[in-house]
Amino acid sequence: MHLHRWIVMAALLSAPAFAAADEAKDPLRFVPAQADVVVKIERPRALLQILEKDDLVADAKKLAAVRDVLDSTNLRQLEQLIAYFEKSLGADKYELLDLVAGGGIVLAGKIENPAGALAVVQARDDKRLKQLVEHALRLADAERERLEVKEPIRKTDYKGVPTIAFGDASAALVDGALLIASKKEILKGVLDHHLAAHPPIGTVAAFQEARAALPAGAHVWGWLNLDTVKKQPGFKAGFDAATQDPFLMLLFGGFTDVIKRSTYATAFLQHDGHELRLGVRMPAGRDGMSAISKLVIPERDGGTLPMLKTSRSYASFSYFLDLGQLWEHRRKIFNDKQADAMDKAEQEFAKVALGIKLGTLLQQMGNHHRVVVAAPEKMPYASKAYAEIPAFAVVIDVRDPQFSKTINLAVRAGGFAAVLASKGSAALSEKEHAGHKLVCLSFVEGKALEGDPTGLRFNYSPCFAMVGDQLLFSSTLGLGKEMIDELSRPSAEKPQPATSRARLDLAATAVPLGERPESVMTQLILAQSLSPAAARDEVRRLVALTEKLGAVNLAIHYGARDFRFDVRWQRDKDSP
Amino acid sequence: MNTPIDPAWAWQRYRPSNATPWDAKAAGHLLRRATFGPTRADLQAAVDAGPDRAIDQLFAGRNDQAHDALWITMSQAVRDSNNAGQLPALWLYRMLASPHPLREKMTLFWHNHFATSNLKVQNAAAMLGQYELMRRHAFGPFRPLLAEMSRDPAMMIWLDTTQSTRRQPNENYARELMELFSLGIQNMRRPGQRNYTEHDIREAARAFTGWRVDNNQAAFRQADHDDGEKSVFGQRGRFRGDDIVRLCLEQESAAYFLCRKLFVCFVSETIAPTPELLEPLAAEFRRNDYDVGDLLQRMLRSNLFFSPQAYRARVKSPVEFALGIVRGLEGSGESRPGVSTSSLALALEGLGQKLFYPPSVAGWNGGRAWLNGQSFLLRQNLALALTSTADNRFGRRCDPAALVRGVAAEEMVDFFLKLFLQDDVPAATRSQLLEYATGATRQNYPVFWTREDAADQRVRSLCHLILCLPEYQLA
Repeated sequence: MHLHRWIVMAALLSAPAFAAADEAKDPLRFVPAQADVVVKIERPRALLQILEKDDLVADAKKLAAVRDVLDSTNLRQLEQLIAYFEKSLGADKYELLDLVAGGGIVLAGKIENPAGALAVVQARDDKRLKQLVEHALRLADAERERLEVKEPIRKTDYKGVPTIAFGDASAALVDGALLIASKKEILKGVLDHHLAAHPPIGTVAAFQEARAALPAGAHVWGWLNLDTVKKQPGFKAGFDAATQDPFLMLLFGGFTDVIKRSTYATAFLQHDGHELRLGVRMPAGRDGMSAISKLVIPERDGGTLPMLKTSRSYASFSYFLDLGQLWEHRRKIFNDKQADAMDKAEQEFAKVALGIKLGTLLQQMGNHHRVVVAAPEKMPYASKAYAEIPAFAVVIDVRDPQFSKTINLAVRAGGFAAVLASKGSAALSEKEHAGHKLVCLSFVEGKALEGDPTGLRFNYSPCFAMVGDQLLFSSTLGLGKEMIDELSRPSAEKPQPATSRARLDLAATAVPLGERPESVMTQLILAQSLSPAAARDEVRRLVALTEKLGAVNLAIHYGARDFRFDVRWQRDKDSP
Repeated sequence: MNTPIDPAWAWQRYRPSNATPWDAKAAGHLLRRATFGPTRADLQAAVDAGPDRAIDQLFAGRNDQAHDALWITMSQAVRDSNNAGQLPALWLYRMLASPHPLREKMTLFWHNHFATSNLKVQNAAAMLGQYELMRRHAFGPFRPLLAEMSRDPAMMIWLDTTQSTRRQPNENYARELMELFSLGIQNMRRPGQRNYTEHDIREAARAFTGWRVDNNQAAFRQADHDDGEKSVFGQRGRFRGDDIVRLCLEQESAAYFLCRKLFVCFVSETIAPTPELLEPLAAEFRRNDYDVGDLLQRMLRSNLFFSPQAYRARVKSPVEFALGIVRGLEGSGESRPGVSTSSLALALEGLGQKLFYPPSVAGWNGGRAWLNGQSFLLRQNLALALTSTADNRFGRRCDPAALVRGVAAEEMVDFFLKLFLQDDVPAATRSQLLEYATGATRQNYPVFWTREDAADQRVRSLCHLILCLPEYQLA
């Protein structure tokens, strides 16, 4: 951002306020009931201090990339500007932030008739704020002149309220708060609304309901009027297309269904010790959901199976998907061409799977799917894979006791067909681990494989096993064995009602990073022009920082009448 | 109309004289052509060494085992991750840091000659393999380079050799081998006469059948090769690819074709490379079994190279423009880390030169095509981004103010003019720059800036102005 814009922003963010108050009023009182989107930062100073005092932020500041930003000319000039205000007003930046915005900051927007944005900054101390704005306006005017900006900063008033205008933006000072609007019409509308004491957004029932669902202590929260959003032509076209596409419906079916039936959505950000939590809520759930959506959502609060974890895994997913129902209703869900293609695929599948039908397998298979992604492991090949690909495993529960037998036959027949097609480049074998049989496919070194000129195949040693009532496919034998061990022991995880869950073990990514630092080193040298020694140190710092990152847990829960999406970033490495 | 140049004089060894002295201007000219632009130290070292030793040093390069080891680590990491996005940045890094800049410059010449794009190849390892091949043979004999290029995995994917079988020979490689890599379409010495026929291409294509890429290596499969008799350039035989390369280099046009391309790249884009002018070079090139190093030495040590006709007679490519700034400001010196070559690569893509992604098999058009109203504006913006320190892509790594602090306006102007243009600008240009530098002290700056901030800002603005001069766009 150019300097003069920083200054104008600073000028607009600071203005003469009025009587000092111990308890600042709620800035939401300025937001008209017609607002479509509202975001509130409850305690700006607390939020800034959370960021600045966080040990992870402190560690991150030691990284070269962050040091570069902190040492950049723009940031230096911003710091000089802040220091100038601190010196001029005799208060540090935290105190100043409290004086200017101690009552909270609200950003509100209206999507149409007319579209525009409003920021409300609720001050605590008027006198200091008045000094600040005077300094800021002087600075802004000087900078405007220096840069030969023709647009003046205009000081006027509207119905007795002093206002400042620069370009399209307008600001006003009312009742101890600074109002900044993207257009002067918006500011006038807000002032008319406030001066006439019309009911603000806080009196709207949907808004009250949303606020009631927010956790206490949320640092930032927002509210969105979905009714208005859904009427927007651009959104409507995209949304309609998504709801008519069966593949997108399978991916996001429940979510789009909930959006369709919800009048609002609310979101919040909360920091609590070592957990950062982002939540989204909507007031609609399973009740009234379309049939296709139910393919990805269990009927009741059954939740998902425990997520799986191995020594090298860094992502784990557990979700519900009824492939049997999908197959059965394919003619209703997909168009004729797609359904015909599925029927043809079934015929082709049967040719290599001893006549076993794909539909039979899908209907015998269960609804609970679990996927694990793990760091690449040492492969049983001397040939080096051209590009390393993470290992992954898929686990699906079994609905029909016959499934074990059917899938065993199908996999062996399919594997045999693959070996034949490879013209001697692949081999099928059987191995045993912890009392479980694994059917494995491996690649023969020194033999070319059609369609793989770069040797990507050496990332894989795919295997299959049945572990109790769980079907296991793994892209590598090493991960397959670890998955058997994981499936054989009782889960330490508590039951969760969420219908889809994911865990991204950020700390675990430190393992491959530490094992193969060259890739990151190269990235650092090229992107940040570090010396090799500095890049090596930087990788060590990154590994140490990554180990402190903990894990991010994502959970989607469709209640009977509500939708909850939670992202929890837990820094404690032993967090569930 | 220009007076014809006497070929005998043109290729005689340059000896400094009063008319063409060996000074900073001549050294700067040599270093702009043979490297990616000089640092202050490079310039002074070349002036001190004299032309012969300066050129010897360019061909010898420096021994830097740490650099070599780092290159192996970095290039392997890019191969392992197939991170094609890093390819341009990786090479730019080497161009800036290499102890052998002439080898990189020649490799860039070959990259434009054997122009292969990863847009089709989609394989970082294969592209790096081709780069290594060109670098290894950068100024060695041309014959092994051309032979190995014919079975280079990236080239085989790029020009469809991997699709070329006994039953369906693909003509792409055979055509470009003759048209762009070794002969050219028209015979330079016999106007109106073509160097090859469609029949030659069809027959040569049969000789290149049977190759494929497996595990990133070239693999020959006899069963897919057409082992029958072929007829190329009037000669008959059961030719294979290497035979076609040999036959191409037996043609008289091959030497002229390569001399012409090197001439345009290293000597001049404005002097017409007539057969008469190139004749002494072409004859010697053939006698020396196409030794590119010998040919290049002859060019760089010649009267013509150091003559006023060749001076600033090339438009800098975007790579030369940008790296010249970075090296001039010592952004790649050991004492200070260089700029982000990832950011530089993206900026150069905007200027039309994305390494490893030439626009077609004919390479970049080069010359005047590098400059137009828009590209000149983009060059100015890149120069500003590099020198202002306010652009987050490059930060403070190339700060002109770090080189010149606390000096008078005149000294400041002279410093940057000497560094980037060896003082060779019209007097009026220097006066205008001086006027700006003097007048800038009267400008207002924000009240929260220190005096040093304002002084540094003046240095950066002046440096930016110099980099926007027309003279700086020329090599």
